[in-house]
Amino acid sequence: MKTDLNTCDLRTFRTEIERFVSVNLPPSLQQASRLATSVFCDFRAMMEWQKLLHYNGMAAPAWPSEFGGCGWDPERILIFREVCASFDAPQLTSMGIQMLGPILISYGTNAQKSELLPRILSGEDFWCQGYSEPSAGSDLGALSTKAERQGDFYVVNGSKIWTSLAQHSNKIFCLVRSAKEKRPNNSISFLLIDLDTPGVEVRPIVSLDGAVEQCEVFFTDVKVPVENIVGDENDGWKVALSLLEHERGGASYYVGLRRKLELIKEYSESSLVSRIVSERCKDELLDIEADVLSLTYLERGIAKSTEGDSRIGALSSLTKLIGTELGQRLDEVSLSLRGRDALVVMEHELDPYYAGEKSACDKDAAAFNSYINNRASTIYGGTAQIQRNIIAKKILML
Amino acid sequence: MNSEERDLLFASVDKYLTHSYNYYDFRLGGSASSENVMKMYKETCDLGWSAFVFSEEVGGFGGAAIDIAELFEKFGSYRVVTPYLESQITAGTILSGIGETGDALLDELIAGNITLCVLDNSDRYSDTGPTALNPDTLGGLTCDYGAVPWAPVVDKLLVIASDNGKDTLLLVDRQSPCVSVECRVGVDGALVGKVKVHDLGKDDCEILAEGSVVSDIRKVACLKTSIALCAEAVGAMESMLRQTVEYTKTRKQFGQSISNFQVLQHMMADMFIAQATSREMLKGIASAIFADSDYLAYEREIMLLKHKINKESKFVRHSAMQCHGGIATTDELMLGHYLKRLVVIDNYFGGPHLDMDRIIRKAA
Repeated sequence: MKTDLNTCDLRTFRTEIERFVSVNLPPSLQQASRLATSVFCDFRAMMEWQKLLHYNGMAAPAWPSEFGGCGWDPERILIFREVCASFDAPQLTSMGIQMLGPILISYGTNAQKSELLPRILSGEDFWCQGYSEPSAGSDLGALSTKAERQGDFYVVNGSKIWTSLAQHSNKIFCLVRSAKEKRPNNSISFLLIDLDTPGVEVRPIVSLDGAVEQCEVFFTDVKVPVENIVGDENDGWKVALSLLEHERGGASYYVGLRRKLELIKEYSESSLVSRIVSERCKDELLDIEADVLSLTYLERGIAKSTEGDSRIGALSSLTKLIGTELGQRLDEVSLSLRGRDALVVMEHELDPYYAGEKSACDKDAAAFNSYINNRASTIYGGTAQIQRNIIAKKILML
Repeated sequence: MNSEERDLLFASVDKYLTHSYNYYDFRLGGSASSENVMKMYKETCDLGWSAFVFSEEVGGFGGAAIDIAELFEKFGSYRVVTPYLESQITAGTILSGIGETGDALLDELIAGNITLCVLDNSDRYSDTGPTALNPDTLGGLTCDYGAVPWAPVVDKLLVIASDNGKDTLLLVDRQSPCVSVECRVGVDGALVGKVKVHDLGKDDCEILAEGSVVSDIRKVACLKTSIALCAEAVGAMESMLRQTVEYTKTRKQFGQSISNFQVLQHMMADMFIAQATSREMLKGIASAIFADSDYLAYEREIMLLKHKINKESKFVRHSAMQCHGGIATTDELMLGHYLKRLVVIDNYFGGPHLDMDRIIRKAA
């Protein structure tokens, strides 16, 4: 008889997931995940893993089962993520499954749900997030991309920036200004836009590591059907805020950090590192280990208490802040362990699909790319300073 | 302990600490005498605060680590001055783990009739002085234990002697001529004794237990004491953060509350992070520990917790003081008294460097 993963005890659940991942995760995808140097794994590898998960009904652990998710409780979701991380499974991108999915489930029309949710799961649609603008970064409420109602359409003009993976996406969810008022809570709408609509242009931004993860997206008289709005007109700020919480808090940072720490510790104790260096970094690694452990308990506690906790929004600021800053500290240690060898520009070494000759390479050989890419982690999704503002205002009531 | 018993106990703790306790009335070195403190100790034992930490087999209520943590969080936020930790938790754990020989003493301890403290040279900050105490060598037991909390007022001393890796647990009368205690007041308002043991022979002590049972229970006692200390620190940090938030809202400079300044807001946000992560780590670990063997299973996590607390408490206390300004440096405000106790907690097992070194040595 097949085990019911929703009702079995947690130990059995873990064993079952371990069995599933070990059987289904191909070594090539593991390798791709080890070579990732930011939150985004190689796009092809990531989509391949999503398809495998989807085929087995596990692409969206947190969605209710009626929408094609697993409907697992928070403890199971965390175990699932822990196991995936321990096997170095590629991390799925958050935009579709983690961010837009829950929004559509909460605020979408029935038509939107039935049309869009299955396509998110299958990967037919790949979504990107159109929030930041050149003049609206930390001050997101100042965004100026305009949507004017003309009959059955909104006509959109303006531009978005820092749009992750837009070059791979066919759709974008956007915050647009649909009324003249300055206050964001009654002037912004949440719109779903096809990227192949005439008037949309995607321009890649080359990052410091030479790769493209971010894009600019330009809208010139783009006609968007009115049924593509999520929530009511001018009520998109509420939708956006709840989405930001999914972005910040839905990530369980400890899972990735634990694995990263494990790999760095392993490397620091290997014969590749001189004894002096290995001894000197012990205190630092121990200190990080204590912080990762405390974050583990914090995130597990939040996961269990999510329902009905009005502070979840602010608590997601807390974990985002701690998680990203810890990741940066780990990158610094990793970089310092590698000496000059880490400072060579990576060419084909990080491409899991490159068939030609390349030197042997493990995840941490890309220590520099990881370091440089993760400098962005305390900038995107609300800077570390914005998160501190939120903690001060929403939790300490200052 | 069922939830009803737990609620009753903590209701009594809250009531007592709110109505009958005030740090300034109980700290030594001020108006209080050690008799006040010992009277309070006896009263709290009578209220059942002592029995609840012991298992039902030895006559307690079977409180788990999370209950100890909750009690000590309150001790931390009320800045309670008491030999409870040394006597009930550290010495009590040892007595409850050595079988029948500890029973009679344990009954007296739970009743609050006697107080004890443990002399264990592994807590010392320095490696000087003899480390091995061999009870077989008559007259050979000599050791300088340095500053030991509450040693001047306890009735009995539990001495852990080591010889070639074999531990022996000795019971020594505090008044024994082999023991000298120089009475001092600690910076946290506790009574502290600088203890020296000299020429202690077989006739001057009672051997309570020997061998691995002592080594194991000594470790458990140390871990349980760590949980209590960490919880006390968490309680103190919570109070410091709360008082800092309140103070910055009322204190005005440049025509406005200083809490409006972003630089202070971020400082307090970081204090919150320090305090909240410490508390969640404490609660997460303590919730998993019930029996003595669980402490050993969670040894590394508890040691990491102590390290985390050392680090975060320093950040919280320094930031709290900085946000307050000059007023924080006065005896009148509780803030500085929390700070003093937090420093004592840092150095309780010899200091943060030793705490960290223990984890590294354990892993090696």
